[in-house]
Amino acid sequence: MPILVRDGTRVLIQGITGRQGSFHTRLMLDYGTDVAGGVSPGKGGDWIEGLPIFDTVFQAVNATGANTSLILVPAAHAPDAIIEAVDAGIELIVCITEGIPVQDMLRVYQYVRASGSRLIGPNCPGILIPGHIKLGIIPAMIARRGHIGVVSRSGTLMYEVCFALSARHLGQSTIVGIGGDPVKGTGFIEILEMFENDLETEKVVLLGEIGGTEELEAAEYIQHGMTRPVIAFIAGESAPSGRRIGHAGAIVEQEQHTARYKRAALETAGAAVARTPAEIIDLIDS
Amino acid sequence: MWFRQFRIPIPEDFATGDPEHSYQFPVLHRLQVAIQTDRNARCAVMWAAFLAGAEDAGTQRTSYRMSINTLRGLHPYQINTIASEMDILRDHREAFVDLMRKLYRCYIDSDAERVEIHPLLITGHGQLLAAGGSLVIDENALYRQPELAARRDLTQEATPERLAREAGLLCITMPGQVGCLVNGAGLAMTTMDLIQHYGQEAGIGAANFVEIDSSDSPEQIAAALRISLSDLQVRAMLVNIFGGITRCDDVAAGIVLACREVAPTVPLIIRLQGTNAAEARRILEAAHLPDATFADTLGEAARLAVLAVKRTNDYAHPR
Repeated sequence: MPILVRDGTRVLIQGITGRQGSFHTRLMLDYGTDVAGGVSPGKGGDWIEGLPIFDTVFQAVNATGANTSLILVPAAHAPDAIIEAVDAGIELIVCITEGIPVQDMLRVYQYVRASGSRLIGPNCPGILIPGHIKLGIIPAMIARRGHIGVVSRSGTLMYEVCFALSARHLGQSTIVGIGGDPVKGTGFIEILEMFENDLETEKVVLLGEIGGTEELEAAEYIQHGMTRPVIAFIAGESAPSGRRIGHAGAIVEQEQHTARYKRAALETAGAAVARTPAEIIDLIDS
Repeated sequence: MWFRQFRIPIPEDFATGDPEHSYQFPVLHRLQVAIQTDRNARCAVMWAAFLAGAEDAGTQRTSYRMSINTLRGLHPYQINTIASEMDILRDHREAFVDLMRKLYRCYIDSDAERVEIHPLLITGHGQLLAAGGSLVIDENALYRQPELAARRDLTQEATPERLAREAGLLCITMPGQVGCLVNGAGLAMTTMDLIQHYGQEAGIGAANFVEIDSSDSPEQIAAALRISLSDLQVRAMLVNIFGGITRCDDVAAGIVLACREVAPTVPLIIRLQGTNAAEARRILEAAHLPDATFADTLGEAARLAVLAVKRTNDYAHPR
């Protein structure tokens, strides 16, 4: 069994009528993802890509039995979309939206935590289980079925690394983008834990970056809770401190937030740390 | 987003209530209080500390912290807890609680990442005096903070960064010599790291990076290239795109468009991988761009960019 999804994962797209929404719905259907329909307030009753549109998540869940939601709505509406999905009993919510205010995410995080739902993202590319399901915007061409679990704060860096892995016949069990925001639904530790318990995953690639201390907590988990080998890379060694480098969460405010500090912590914890993306492959092979 | 700090100038001996001075009230305590977002705990944190004597930052003693679940809001008992732990005198409690409530209101209402009073003076007459402070606003929230957005101090931004903002793009400037055009923040950081990796000994690094997005048109990509090149430090230009949703042929069309308009005088190193990469290569080769080199891997692209800077430095190539 892969992580995060199960047999019977049935997907709703919140924001299905938007430009991004309809485009990525098509790609997910092409990949074979079981998309049941979409939600777009005020457009209930219409159809798109052969799928029914509903006004609310409740109506969509009642009509289709969907248990998973992909959120592709603008930042101003995304917090409400997440809360609506939680209230409708959605198990797994993947929020792609970038640019949600941090204070909104503080409230949403506490809301989700008190519920039975799991949130991936926001500001993430989603989940891809090669040959099985595509839940988000990760391009299918980068992936190949295999036994390496990949978890990353960054989207395109993850594409780059997976593409290189696939070219060397090092396939992936599950690819998860947890997102580049400072406050997000699911962090490294939770995904590492899932990989540790996943029979299909043999090794794990962790792609971190500057900002925050998540990688340090991940290092602690790797040291004390993991038996599977972890290969890590941290982006942003050359980044100036005190500046946000593209991702809202990528900012160095203290020494612990730097790439150097995180690399050292991961090395101490027993992870193999690559200096360049190309080195990740050498470390997996060895 | 930072606003400039305000600071009321206070004489060194003010904190001691020196009678020589005309200030009529003695200062009992100097405090620093703040409410800020705690990204690890995923909540807000209210925080206070005594400052020693007339000294400023760096001499804080114990700080007192209280987490606030912003979904539930700030409760008076939480402020009372801090006031009690800090031994704030009964006479000042009411004013302290009132002030912290207002500070929290300010944090919420202005979508702040951090709001701080430093120093906060407690006078002998039971008064609290905010003598300085700062406010950091969440940039993602500016769309609903028009008044604050209008007060943004644009003169503090470097020119390419301002140009990028006006064009709806993101640009970060740095002290190096290689201009970078990359899709995605993580890949951009990695690209700049590799430039540093190969160029460090020669003192070569990234001059800037302009982020492009999957939804960008060739015109926007041309604008991004123009902005990166507008930085006069730039001695070589590196375009690194991993096409997933972004189509490499769109990026290639943008590069050709931009080169026609600006005719770059620096070497161009291009690495396009992923969706429609082969087609992109054909477009770029057919355009016969002067001084353009193609790289297959990220590492090779960074190495070539460093070499290009060295070359122009060696010939002291004027721009």
